[in-house]
Amino acid sequence: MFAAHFAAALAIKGTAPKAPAWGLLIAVFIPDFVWIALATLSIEPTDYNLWFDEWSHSLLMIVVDATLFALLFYVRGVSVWLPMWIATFSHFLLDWPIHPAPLALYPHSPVHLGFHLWAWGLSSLWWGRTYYWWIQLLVVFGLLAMYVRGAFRNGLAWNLIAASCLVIVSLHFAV
Amino acid sequence: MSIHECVLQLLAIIVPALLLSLINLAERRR
Repeated sequence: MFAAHFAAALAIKGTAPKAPAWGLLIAVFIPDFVWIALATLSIEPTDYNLWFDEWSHSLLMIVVDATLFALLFYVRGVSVWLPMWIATFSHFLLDWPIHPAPLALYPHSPVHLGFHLWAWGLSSLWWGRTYYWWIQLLVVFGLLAMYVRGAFRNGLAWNLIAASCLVIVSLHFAV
Repeated sequence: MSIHECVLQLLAIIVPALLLSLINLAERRR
C-alpha cells in the first residue's frame, strides 16, 4: 500500500513549498525502488517465510539513500535538500510500525527495530478491511491534513488541493 | 519477484506519481 508514502510527500510539500513535488514523490519511494530492483534480482526474497529487505529498508541504508538523494539538491539550498532528506527518511518511519518483518538497524544486523505486527495487521477489523488498512487510512488523513493546511497557507487553488487528496484517498480505497 | 510483478509494482508507484506531478504542474501554470 503506497498511499501513505504519497501523502507524506504532499505533507512535506505543504510545509516546504520550494521543494519540487516530483523530487519529493521520488524521494518517498527510493527504498521501494531499491526493493523492487533487488527483489526482481532475487537478492531480497519476498516470500513471507523468507522475507528479507535489509538492503533496501534497514535504518542505515535508508539514511544513506536519504543523504545521497538530498546531496543531489544541495546547490538549491537547505529549503530544498532538507525536505528531500526528510521525505526519503519518512519511508522508514511509515514502514517501521507494521512491516512483513521488523526493520533492521543495518543489513544482516542482529538488531531489529520494528515489531512483529504483520499477521495482526492483516487480520480483519471492520467492513472486510484489515487493521493495517484502517491504521494507514488514519495516517493518510493526518498527512493530508498537514498538506491541506500548508497548501492553503501557500495560496494553492482549492480544486487542485482537492484533486491531489482525491488521488491519494482513491488509491488507498482501491487497494 | 517476477518481472511481471516488478512492472506492476513500478506502475502502482509511477502512475499516481505522474498524476500528482501533473496536478502540481497545473498549479504552477495557474
